[in-house]
Amino acid sequence: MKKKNFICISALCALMSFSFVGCSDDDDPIVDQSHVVSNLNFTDENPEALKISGTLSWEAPTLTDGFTKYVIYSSSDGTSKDAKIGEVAIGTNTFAVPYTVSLGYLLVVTASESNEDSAGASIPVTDYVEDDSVSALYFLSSGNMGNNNASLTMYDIESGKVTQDYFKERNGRGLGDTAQDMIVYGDKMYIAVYGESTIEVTNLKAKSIKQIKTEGQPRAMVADGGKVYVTYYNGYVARLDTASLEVDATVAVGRNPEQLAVANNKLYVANSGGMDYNTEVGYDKTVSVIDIPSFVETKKLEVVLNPTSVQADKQGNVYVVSMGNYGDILNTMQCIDSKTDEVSVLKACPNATEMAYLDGTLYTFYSQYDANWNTTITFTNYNTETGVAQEWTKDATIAKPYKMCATGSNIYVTESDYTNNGDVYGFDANGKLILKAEAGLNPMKVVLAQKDNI
Amino acid sequence: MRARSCTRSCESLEPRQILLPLPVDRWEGSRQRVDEPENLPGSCYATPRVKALVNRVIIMRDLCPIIRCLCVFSVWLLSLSAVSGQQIDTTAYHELSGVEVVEKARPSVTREGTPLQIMDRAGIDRLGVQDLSEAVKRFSGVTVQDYGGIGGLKTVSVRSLGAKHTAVSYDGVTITDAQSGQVDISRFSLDNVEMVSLSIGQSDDIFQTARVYASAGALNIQTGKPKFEDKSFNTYLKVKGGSFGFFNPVLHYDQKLGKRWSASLHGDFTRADGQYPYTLINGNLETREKRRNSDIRSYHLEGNLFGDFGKGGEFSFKAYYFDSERGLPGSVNLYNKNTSERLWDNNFFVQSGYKNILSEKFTLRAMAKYNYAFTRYLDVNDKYAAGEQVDRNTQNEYYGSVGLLYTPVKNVSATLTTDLTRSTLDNNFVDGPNPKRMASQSVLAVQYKDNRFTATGSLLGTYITDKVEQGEKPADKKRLSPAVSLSWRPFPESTLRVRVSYKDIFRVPTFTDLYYLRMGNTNLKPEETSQYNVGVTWSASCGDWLRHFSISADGYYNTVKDKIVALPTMYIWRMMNLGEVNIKGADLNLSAQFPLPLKMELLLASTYSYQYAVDITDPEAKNYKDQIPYTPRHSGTVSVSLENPWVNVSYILTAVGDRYALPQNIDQNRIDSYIEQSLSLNRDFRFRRFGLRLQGELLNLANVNYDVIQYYPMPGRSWRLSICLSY
Repeated sequence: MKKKNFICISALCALMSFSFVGCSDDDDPIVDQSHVVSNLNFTDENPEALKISGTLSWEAPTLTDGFTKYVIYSSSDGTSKDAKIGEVAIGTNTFAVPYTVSLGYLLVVTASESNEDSAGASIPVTDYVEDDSVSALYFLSSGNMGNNNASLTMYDIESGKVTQDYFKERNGRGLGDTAQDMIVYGDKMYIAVYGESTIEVTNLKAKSIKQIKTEGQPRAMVADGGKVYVTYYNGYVARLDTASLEVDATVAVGRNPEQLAVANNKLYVANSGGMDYNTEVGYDKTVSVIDIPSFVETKKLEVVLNPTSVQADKQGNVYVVSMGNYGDILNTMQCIDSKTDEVSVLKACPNATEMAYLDGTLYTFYSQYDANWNTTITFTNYNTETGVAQEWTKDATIAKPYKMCATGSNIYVTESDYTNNGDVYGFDANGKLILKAEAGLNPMKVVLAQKDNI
Repeated sequence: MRARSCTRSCESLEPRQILLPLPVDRWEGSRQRVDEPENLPGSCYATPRVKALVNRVIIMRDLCPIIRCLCVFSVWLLSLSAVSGQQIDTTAYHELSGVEVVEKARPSVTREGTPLQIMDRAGIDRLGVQDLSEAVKRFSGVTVQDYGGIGGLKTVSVRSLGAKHTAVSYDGVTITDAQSGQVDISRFSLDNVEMVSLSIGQSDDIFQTARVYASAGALNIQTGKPKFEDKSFNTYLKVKGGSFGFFNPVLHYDQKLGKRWSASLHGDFTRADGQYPYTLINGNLETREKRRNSDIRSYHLEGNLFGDFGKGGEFSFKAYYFDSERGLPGSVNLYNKNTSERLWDNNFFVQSGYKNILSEKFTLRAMAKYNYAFTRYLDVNDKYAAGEQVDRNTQNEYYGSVGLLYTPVKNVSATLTTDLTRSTLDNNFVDGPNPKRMASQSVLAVQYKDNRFTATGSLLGTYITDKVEQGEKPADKKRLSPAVSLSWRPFPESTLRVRVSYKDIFRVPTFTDLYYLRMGNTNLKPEETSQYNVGVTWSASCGDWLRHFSISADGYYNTVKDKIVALPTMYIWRMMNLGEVNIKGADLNLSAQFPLPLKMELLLASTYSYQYAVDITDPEAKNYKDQIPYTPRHSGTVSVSLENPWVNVSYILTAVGDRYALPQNIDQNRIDSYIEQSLSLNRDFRFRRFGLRLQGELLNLANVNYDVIQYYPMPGRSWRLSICLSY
């Protein structure tokens, strides 16, 4: 609004100064203003610097006799016709300025088929440049199945301000039902929405770039080499090209794949088989290995029943958490050596429910239940270089931890009681609490989006 | 994530059963008899000038003293059956005596010690309600969860206690579903129903089965018993049709079989495409969509045999069969419109009742039932190894009840009733526990009743034991549940009554709660409720211009402890006794009946309900003291009927305030209030012995787009017509 006012006023000033110039200069031939349009208005909507686009409008001149059209020019000084942009017939008082380079002014000249009026009206253009610097944490919350309340919360790192339902605020529409995963890769963010079979691609400010409809229900994503790899719950991994934003290939894996990770130019995909827990087939218990260059599944490694989480460390180890059967087979932490593809239970930290990897350390927590489903939570960190595990001490007690994520140089633990909006706790590597903020219902993932304005 | 099929399938399967109701005898036909036995002889209401031809019943119910409610102008008139509200005194059984006025009923305020609401045949016809949920929506103090469409699940929660605390009985025998614990009332059409009543707390009718005692609220469906006048059979054919491919023919036949016996047969078929349009709002986007996979096809057959042996007692037998296939459209997603779930269900039961007044002092009643219920749930999706998920559940129930009513002296009666129920569930899940439950319930109730004072007390003892083939067996459950109620008419010359009641009851964990889908928890305790109610009722007839007026106002306080809730613990949900709810509320019912010139009559009925139902489980939680989901603070209904010699017209309005879809009361979870209106027209013709009835309804007149359950959109404006030819 302010900008508009400003532009109007500048336009008015410009016009007034013209007329002033016209009037004062008695010696010059008097310019006939009766065929000149007035009250020009234009707001640049193009976010790029030096580029403009938007709608130019004006009021018709008092006389249009003999004239048939208005010609719109880009002008460096408000009078010179430096570059013609387009024309519209008399009677139309708006013009959609296409994407064009800004020269400083837009000029409208009344014209007939053969000649143009000697004078025109111009408006200085204020080049709108979006500030695309970002320094934000995004919390993705899956919501409750059936309530279409998956949501994105934006935490502004500078100000500490939290904006709930940020995707909807930015795009005028919701994410939909049951978001599962989110990653930041390059200058885009990818959100997998399981219930909708969509991947929402946005810029780092969560403005939608594309909604990709997927052939299967997306669960988890990992990015590598210009591609985003997505597991589909019907047993595939899809490869999404980040330039074209199209799925360019899919490969069949095991049943109900969940998370996946990249190590040694291979993808490791956890096949949970979770949809068949009560049928004869039962859970899956494999990790599919996909060769990235050829994008084919080269083998399936057997692991403990119901693998779901996968993380790779920088030495090329892949950690897999199997959830077991929620009965006699416990949540089990395993390690796959990506050179040999050998699977072993991680002895130093044999049980875990969730994990996150940051700078050589694997942070985990393990939920155990007694017969009444009372919960005991153990937080452990495992040094992937020394192989030593110890209790992870941190500043805050989290009674109902839900997910763990590492992004930037911090670890985030989300909390959910499945009933109310959850909270996100951020810790630095020493366990110091650096932030606590509210997210939506069931916060699944925390990502950091950072970009400096050049 | 996984709650899916199970919940759905559980929801939708329920057996139904029937039996004779309690004092069966009391209700016959649409002519109700008002037994105003003791009812005040000189009260204004008893004055003889009331001559309404009414067959209506009202429902008066609760009381509600709370001041708050008074300020609320809720004028709902239950037009339910026209206002004839009278109480039904179901209790009258033993003193049937009373004056039986058949033809003229005078409305009276209920004398019940606990809230009771009734809609009888006349009300059903007048308002054009077609299925049970529509009738129940006219009652105060209830919340009907409606998933939309003809085949959509509909359950009833009484005073915020939850649907699993509401018993539904069909001709006196409760319909149970040990698997899901709740009854889908969408399958009950009202064609052969004489009366629907809802009692909250422990009703004054003490001669009921123990299972009826074992619920916080009871919805009773009473089908008709054939009446023969000058010929030995009656029959009717009714054909209904309407929007969204709704087609429903009904055939009914009654036959007299000699002096003592009679029989009836009833069959109907229903189908609908259910593809109704709705508007989906997604942020700034508004799109017009069509409900998909919402079709239904069902058959219902029912046969009854009645025997009346005078001193030898009364006998009844019913066989019931229901079969349906429907699409489960699921909640609407914003972008993904695929739905592939379907449900088949199949229910068969036979039930029989016998009652004999052995002597002045003793009456005996016995009932038995066998129930078979089968459901098959199918979801086709390549995320399953087999490309589809199929859940098959089979439940069997064997039930028997024997009760004795003892009336040692005038005004005092006592009953002892024992019920035994055996329930089993089998399904196709791997390592399923296939539970078998034996429940024994016995109730001892005593009542004192005179003209002005009624006091009732009861004690229900329950013993439940389960056996399982796999896994842990839960501990046996034993419990004593008391209930008391008092109703008092303080002024001899006035019909004003004051009532007070208390009931303590619980629900046992269902099979799903205990065993199924990974979330079962065999350590669950029963979920307990306490209900306290205080109310006043008053009815009057005030001269020529106001034939009848009645009002009841009740205030109540309920608590739910050890509420069984599903709580996910890392990927899987577990059922836990983790919930505590405090409920304060008020219900107000008003009805009035005005005679008009030209043989016309105006009937007004209105209800208002206030429910402050808050979660007090955890003071630390963000939803502490937040209103529980799907429970409006304010709701009400109004109905206005104009009866006349030409075309009877009824207008019905239902208003429901804001609700929340999830426990936390934040904007994102709010579901907006709505007002739904409908119009019903009907006309009866008679040609000698033939009757012809034409009826039409226009539903959701204003074409309001609303959800009862979030993202289960309700149909917009739609119509229904029915033609009934009887002989």
